[in-house]
Order: sequence, then C-alpha cells, then structure tokens
Amino acid sequence: MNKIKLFYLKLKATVTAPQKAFKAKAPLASFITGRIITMIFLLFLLGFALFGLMELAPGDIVDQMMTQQLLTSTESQGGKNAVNSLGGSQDKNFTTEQMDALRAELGLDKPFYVQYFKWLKRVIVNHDLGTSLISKAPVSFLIRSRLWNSVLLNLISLVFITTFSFLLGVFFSSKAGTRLDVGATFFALFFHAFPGILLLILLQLFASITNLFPVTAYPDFPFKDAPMKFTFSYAHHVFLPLLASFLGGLGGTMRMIRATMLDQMGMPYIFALRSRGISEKRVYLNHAFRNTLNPYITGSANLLAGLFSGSLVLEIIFAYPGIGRLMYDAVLQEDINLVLANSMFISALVLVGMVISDILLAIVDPRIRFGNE
Amino acid sequence: MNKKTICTSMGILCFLMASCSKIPEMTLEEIELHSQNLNAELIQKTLSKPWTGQEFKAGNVGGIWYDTILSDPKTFNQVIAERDGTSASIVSMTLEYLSDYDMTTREWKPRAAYYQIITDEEANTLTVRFTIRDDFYWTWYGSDKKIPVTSDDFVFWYNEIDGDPDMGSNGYGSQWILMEDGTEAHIDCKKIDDKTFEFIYPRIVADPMLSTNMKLCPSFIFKPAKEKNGAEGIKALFSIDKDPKEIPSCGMWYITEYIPAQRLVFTRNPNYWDKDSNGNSIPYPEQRIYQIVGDTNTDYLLFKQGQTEVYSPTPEQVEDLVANQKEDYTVFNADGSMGSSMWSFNQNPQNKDKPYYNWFTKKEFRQAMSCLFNRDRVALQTYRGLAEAKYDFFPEVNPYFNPDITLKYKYNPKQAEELLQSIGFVKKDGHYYDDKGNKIEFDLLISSGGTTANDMAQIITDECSKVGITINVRQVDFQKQVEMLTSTYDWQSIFIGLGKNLFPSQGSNVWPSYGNLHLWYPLQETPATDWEARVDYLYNEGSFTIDHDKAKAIWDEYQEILLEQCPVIYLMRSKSFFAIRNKWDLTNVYYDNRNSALIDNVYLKEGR
Repeated sequence: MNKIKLFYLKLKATVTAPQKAFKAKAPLASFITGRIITMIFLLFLLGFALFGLMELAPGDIVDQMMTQQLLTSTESQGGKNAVNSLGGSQDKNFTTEQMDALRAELGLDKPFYVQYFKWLKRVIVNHDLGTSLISKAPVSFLIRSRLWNSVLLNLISLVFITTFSFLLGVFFSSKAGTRLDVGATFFALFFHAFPGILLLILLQLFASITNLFPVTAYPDFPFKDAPMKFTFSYAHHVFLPLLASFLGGLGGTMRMIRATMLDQMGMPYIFALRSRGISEKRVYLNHAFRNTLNPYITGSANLLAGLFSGSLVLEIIFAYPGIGRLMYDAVLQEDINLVLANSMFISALVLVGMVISDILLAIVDPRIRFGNE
Repeated sequence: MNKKTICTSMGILCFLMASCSKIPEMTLEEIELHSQNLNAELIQKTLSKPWTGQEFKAGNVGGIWYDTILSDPKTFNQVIAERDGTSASIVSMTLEYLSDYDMTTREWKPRAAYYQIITDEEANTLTVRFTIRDDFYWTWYGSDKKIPVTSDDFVFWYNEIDGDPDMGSNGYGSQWILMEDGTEAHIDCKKIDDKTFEFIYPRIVADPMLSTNMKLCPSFIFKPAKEKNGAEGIKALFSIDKDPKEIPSCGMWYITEYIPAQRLVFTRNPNYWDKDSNGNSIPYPEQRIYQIVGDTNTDYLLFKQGQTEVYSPTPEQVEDLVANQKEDYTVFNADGSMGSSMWSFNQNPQNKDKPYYNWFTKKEFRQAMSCLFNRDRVALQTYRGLAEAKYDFFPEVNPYFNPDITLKYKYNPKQAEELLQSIGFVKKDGHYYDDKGNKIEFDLLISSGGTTANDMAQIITDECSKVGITINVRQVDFQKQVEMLTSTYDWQSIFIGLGKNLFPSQGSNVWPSYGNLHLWYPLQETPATDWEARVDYLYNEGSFTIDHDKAKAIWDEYQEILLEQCPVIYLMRSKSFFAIRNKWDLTNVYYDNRNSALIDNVYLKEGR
C-alpha cells in the first residue's frame, strides 16, 4: 500500500515538476495557460451537457416538422390557399416511416454522445459549423448575418451605461446624504427594479401614440442603399430600446461605484492624503477612484459575452435583427447545430472574459501578485 | 407646514377622491344588449364586399407594398419549404398552381394549365390531362432570359421529387389510391409532349383535381442537381445564404432581396401570364417589401403608424382598429370562418384503465359535453359578439353541404344532465360520479398563448362546474400537443383546429379510422366501433362516387353520423376583419370568408 502511495507521489512530482517550474518562472503566463486548459475542458463538458439537455427535451426537430404540417393545415387561408393547404397538407402529414427516415438522414437516430463527437470532429477537424437542420443554410451564415447587429447595439449600450454610471457614481458619492443624492439613488433603484419587458412595452406604446419614434428598433432599408440616411435612421430607431436598456442598467453599476467610492473615502489612507494637503480632486480621481475599479473589473467577466449575446425581449418587441431571436427560434425548433454553435461561442467568450478580467485586475491592482502566495 | 407641502397634499387628496368615483354596475342582460349595440355599430362602420365572380378592373403599375412577416424564411427551396409554413408561402409567390377552385361557382378554373377529365367507365379508370398555357415562362429578375414552362417541370416534380421516397416529401403518400380489393395502386403521371401531360388514376375518383393540383419546379435546374448528387443535390439548391436573384420565377413575383431578420423584398414579374385588359401583368405594385417582425403586437403598431398596407386584427383589436380608421384606411368584414377549432375526447384503448376512457367512449357523454358548451356566451365574451356557433359538419362551400343536417346537441344544461344520467352518472353533493363511483373530472388541453382558446376553455369549465363536472384547463405548447396526439396518446380532451373540409374527401388522415390524425383514436387496424366502420365505408364510397345524387346520399349520412356521435365538437366560427390603406384603389379588393382577402389586383389610386 505504502509502495503504491510512494509511486503515486513520485509520479505526481514528476508530472507537476515542469508545471511548477513554469509557474515559478512566469506566474502570469502559467495562470493564463491553466485557465485556457480549464476553459477547453469546461467547453467540452458544456457541449456534452447541451447535447444531453436537447436530448431530454420532448420531441425533436422531426416532430417540429410534423407540428409545422399541422399548423399549416390549421391556419390555412381561403381561396386556392385553402384548397392547396388542405389538399397538400392535411392529407400529406409525414408517416411514421418517413419520420424515421428523416431522423436517420439528420443523424438523430444515433445516441446523443455519438452525435456530439461527430459534431466536435466536424468543428475541430473540418473547421465547419455545419448547416441548420431545418433550413440547410450554413450555421456560420445564420449567425454572422445577425451577430454584428447585436454587437453594435450592445456596444453602444455598454459605452453609455459604463460612462454615465462611473460619472454619476463618483459625482453622487461626493454629494452623499444631500437631497440630490437621495433623489438620484431613488430613481436609479426604481429603474433598476422596474421590469425591463414592461419598460420596453411602455416605450413602444409611447412611440405608437406620439409618433415621435418608430415602433421598431431597426430601419426598414439596408445600409448599402443610403449609408448616411441609415445612420441617422438607426439612431432614431434605436433610441427608445437603448433608453430602456440604459435606464435599467444604469442603476446597478452607478450604485456599486457610489458605494465603493464612499467606502474608499472613509479609509485611513484617504484621511492621510487629505492631511498632507493633496487636492480633493486628486484624492477622488487618482486614489479613491482607482480602488473602485476592482469590484467592477471582477464583475465584468461577462461583458465580452454580453456584447455578442442577443437581447431576446428587446429583439422580439422592437423587431431588432439580433442574435437573440435566432437562438430563441433555434432552441424552440431544436436545431441542435445552431444552438450548439452559438452556445459554445458565448460560453467561450464568458471564459475568455474571466481570464481577461483576472489579467486586468493584476494590472490595475499592484497588490495582486499571482504566484507569490 | 409650508405652502409646497399643503399644495402637494391637496393634489394627492383630489386625485384619490377622483379615483374613488363609482361606476354604476350593469346586469348581464344590460352588458349583452350593450355589446350587441356596439357590434351593430362596429359592423356598420366596416365594409362588406364578398367576391361573387366580379371582373377585375385594369389598374396602373406602380407603388411599393409594405407588409410584415412574423418569422424568417428558412429556405427558398420548395422541397425543404414543405416543412415550414412561412417558407412555403414565400416560395409559392414565385410559382403557380395548375388550377384553382372557385368557391363561388364551386368549379375548378385553369391557372398554369387547362384541364380535361376523361373517364373510362368500362375500364374503371380516369385520366386528367393538363395542357400548359403558351404564355407561361421561367424568367429571372433583371434578365431577358425566358424559358418556357414544359411538362417536364411538372412530371419531374411528381415522379422524381414527390414520388421519390429518398426525398422525404410529404406528397409521396398522396400518389397512392385505395383499390376495391384493399390494395394500393399508384396514380401515374406521364408526359405526352412538351405542353401536355396526364395523371392516370387506376380507378375512377370523385375529386381527381384535388391530388393533381400541384406546383412545379424548374426541372432544368433540379434535374441536373439530382443526377449529380441525388436527393441531397436538390436539397442544397436555393438556400437562404445564396443570392435570391438566381431563383427563376413563373409566378407573380421574383424574390430580389433577403436580409436575415430584417426584410424580404419581392419585385413584380412583368412576364406573368395573368394580364389585364390593357395587357399589363398583375400584380401592379412594383415591389412588395416585407419587414420581418417577431411579434404580432409590433405588427399591429406598425400598421397603426402607417408603415404597412394591410392588417388582419385579432378579436380584441377590432374595436380599436375600426374606431381609428378615419380616412386613413378601410376595414372590411367577412362572415364566420369556414373552419373552426374543435373539442375532442381521447378514446384510445391505451387508456382503458383510466376512468375517463369509459366516459369518453360513450356517445351520450360527448353529446352532453356539446350541450354544456354555451356558444352564445363564448360568442359574447370571447369574440365580443363577432362569432357564431358552428353547427354543421361541412362548410357552405363544400359541394355536399346540406343546411338541413346540423348538430342536435346545442347548449342545453338540462338535456346534458339527462344524457349523463342515462349512462348511469349520479349527482352527489353537487358533483357527478360515474357508476363506479369515480368523480367526473378531466383535463382540457389547450395551446399555450392562445387567448381565445383560453377564454373558451374557462367558459366551458365554468358551465360544466355549474352542473357538477370539473374540468382542469392545461396549457401546453403546441409541439407537445402534437406529440401527445401522434405518439404518446396520453391526453384527455383537447381543443385543436384541423382546417376545413372544403371537399368531402379531404382529411383522409383525420376522418377514416386508419388515419394517423384520427384524433380520438388514430391508426386503428380495424374500426373500433360500428359507427366508425360505417364512416370508413361511407368515406371510401363517397370518394369514388362521381354521380352527384348518389354521392349526396352518401355524404349526407356521413355528416349525420359524425354530428350524432360527436367525436369532435366544433366550436365557433369567428367573424373576421381586414384593414387596408386608402392610398390603394379598393375597386379590386374583395374580402369574404371563402377567399379571405383578394388583393392580387390591387393598385395605387390615381395621383398617389
């Protein structure tokens, strides 16, 4: 028993020796390498879990097609549509044999882990995300065609929210206890707690009643037709949805910055700085403010993924052509190739975001030294 | 207390007092009368303009038609589009049917081809011969290239796509016909020459046009694709990442632009065969631009903002839509819809150990449920008075519609209780129990998100609870419902719509006991009941009887049995409405429950 234990310890020491040496030599690089290896393993498990979950969901894409057949017959119009939808639909539902053949054609007759490894092989070896099971269109096309719309909207939203929440957070921390501060905190809390979906609907109704704004969030003509006109039109269209996102997102960050600033301003080092006659502006911005960045950076790991994620509710209500709607439909229709490609991409971004936020923390806060514990 | 505080307090007090003003309550009768008056007013403010065969006036080419669709097309390939309603309707705008059924005259009219039905009574065979019109071409947007549509385009589709099991087309099953000896024989399709082809039926059928009324495909593209890569070669054609301008059209429109999740643009096909008296092809608008919106409410708001040309309101939107029409748009109304949802009860023996199986398999129970369905209350509360009960089996447009054959089991709680007691149900402590002591309680499955279905279900629940029957409404996703209906069979009762029987022989997978959508007990190897055996027999006989009087007798009995046995209880026929902007000349716009909105010939008003 002891021999086995000794052997194990020796083996462990042999295996971990290079890693330890590397960690000692380059702590940050070692940390990043470790994170990347963990990330790859996590992504593998996540994909496996996603495939498993889709397998557990009732029905599959072939059942969805059957549903479509039924829906077509229940929603048929009059005139020739009615004749053809019934003549050509109600009487033409898939037979059990046809459904089985379709499953085989789409590879859905195999166990889910086999399907997963096949998917992995196609993505890693062939660099191919595959085609949508429903439309046969390349997954890369479907995602690419909507992704940048989401990035643009999220980026504008992020810039506004971050800028204003920092400015207001710092400003109101200097006005703590005043009526202005109480009022601002109340409104920030109110909008932060206000249901986002309701705010979007109310703003859309406001647009409809006043006719001051469009009820959709995207121009009804493409950029290439008139770039300048499109830019102004986009700003006009996107104003209300952005306002909703701004009002909802501002409160949380602003209050965090304000609270951290107040916390920092009560610290002994601030007292020491003031006693040395350093200007209040420098105390605020060069010393206290720098220390408020830590919690923000720690909590910003999801920002990168957030940029590339859709805003489903906003996209549905304001008809914005983002990635959220595509994914929503893909999940509902159990289009596994599309769901997996996007989910893995977003998950990878979350993990990358975590790594980046850790590196930023190390850069921003000199007290943090990886590998010196 | 400063002035500011006093003013604020006074303001709040005034607001609260104003909020407490009491609105006089109305009795149910007063509400009903008020609703009827409102509805009469509402109908007066709308236009009734059914199409009864009027000629269309020649219009002017021009203008852009803005509209919406609720979801993206999945494909522009008609083979794959079969599996997606939205895609199918989009692709169909570039294609043409062989013929069209005129619901007013109840006759088939030629579209892509002229037809001739040849029956050989001695050999008991029937042939439908189609001759393609001369002025019918495949053309491309922005190109002078014209390829005449030939028989190959139809025959290839029928034999090589619908007829090839590897293609997985849902049209495959409809190419087979049941013979007198119980075997199945194939309906063949063969080319005679470039412009003529035939469908040869192995026996005489009553509605040959139904299964021959098919679309076509550009065989000069599809055929080489299949020869090169088989079924996959065809499925790879015209996917949404390709330029839609490459897709040829023989229909009214070209697909000229598609931006995912944003818009879909159709451009008028000036070579379309259907021309007006001035020699201009319809349609008249130069373009149709569809904005892709994911939500019906956004769709409505877009119409209200003047961004779209037409809108079909839900029952709860009608009042608002009519009230705001002014000079901006006109609202048309149409009588009750041809089809209707139905209420059905699970009679699958898989559940024979469950108490409800014994109730649902008794016709008296089903009849009693029909007697507990308060149609007037549903019309008033759910449809705001803009609906009527559906008491007949076939709609009026069906050639065998008989106004004298209607449902006998209308709303009558007293009759319902008598029917329940006749099968041994006993009422104790205000609740019904069966002869084995089981409390009468069952589930009603409805589609999640359907507000009208939910309202109806709540009314039924309330009406049943008054006589002592408990119904639990369960909202389930439509996908899950389909799974329950077609594979697990673990539902109890359900609201579902399965289209309309415009022809008696339609619904071959619903009404005969062997159908895979024979709701209450699908895929029966032999009919479970005598009445179902009779329905099977009548359905089969009627489908192969071409003498109208003989067929009428068959279909009359068929309707009577189904209305007596109540395997399904039809719900409501809702009145429908349709709004169109007044910038369009409404001369050629018609709207009725048979054809829905006829807007193919719409054109811009002079000077717009």
